Amino acid sequence: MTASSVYAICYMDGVMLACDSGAFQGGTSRYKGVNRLYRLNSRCVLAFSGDWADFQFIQNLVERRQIKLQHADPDLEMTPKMVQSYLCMFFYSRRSKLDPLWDTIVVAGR
Amino acid sequence: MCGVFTSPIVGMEPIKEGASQYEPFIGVVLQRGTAFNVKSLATGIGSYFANQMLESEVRKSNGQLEKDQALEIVKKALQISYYRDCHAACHYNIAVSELDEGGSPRAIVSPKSESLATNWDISERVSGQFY
Repeated sequence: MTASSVYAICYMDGVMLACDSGAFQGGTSRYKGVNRLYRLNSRCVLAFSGDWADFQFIQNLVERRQIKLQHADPDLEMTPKMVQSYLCMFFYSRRSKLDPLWDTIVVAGR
Repeated sequence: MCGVFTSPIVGMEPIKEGASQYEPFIGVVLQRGTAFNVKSLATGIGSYFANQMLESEVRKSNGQLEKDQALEIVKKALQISYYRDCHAACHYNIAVSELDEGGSPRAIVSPKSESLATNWDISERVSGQFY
């Protein structure tokens, strides 16, 4: 199950992310009401284009990491930079195992 | 006997105070673990259609776009991708990350999807072979 493009733009007081809500199985439109945006915390939103299942896996990982961080201090929130560098390392390790994640992830926030 | 033959060097960033610690940020991670930051972005097949438009709009305004301007630009990009990309739907979701009145960050993903206004009148005059 794959999804198409994501658009992101910086404006004066923030960041805007947009994606269409279609999920496709090959060339077939399988689901039409999929929200491809994931709000991790108040600083950070994730979006994907590519494989949906792989994104759900990543969602799971990142959310666990956020919760783990909040065991130390409930006010701690992962910054977009942190999420990006974590995902970068993770994607790279997976491609080095010849088992790449089939996604492009956009991490946006403040 | 198991030495570690590396000499790590650790760098730090100065801690920022106030609003400057919440710089707007768009980061991308590609499939193979490459990553970069940008001011505007289109992924997938949209990178062929809309990257140019998004970037030139951001540059034209010197990064000082209003929110409704940004929304219009993004809508335009979505519309182009719906016309041109056969793997795009006509409904879209928007997420916004900005500062609230107290100066702390907030991220909002709109729970409702909206639909694009599109015009297919021209299709009656198109002829030829379709796949």
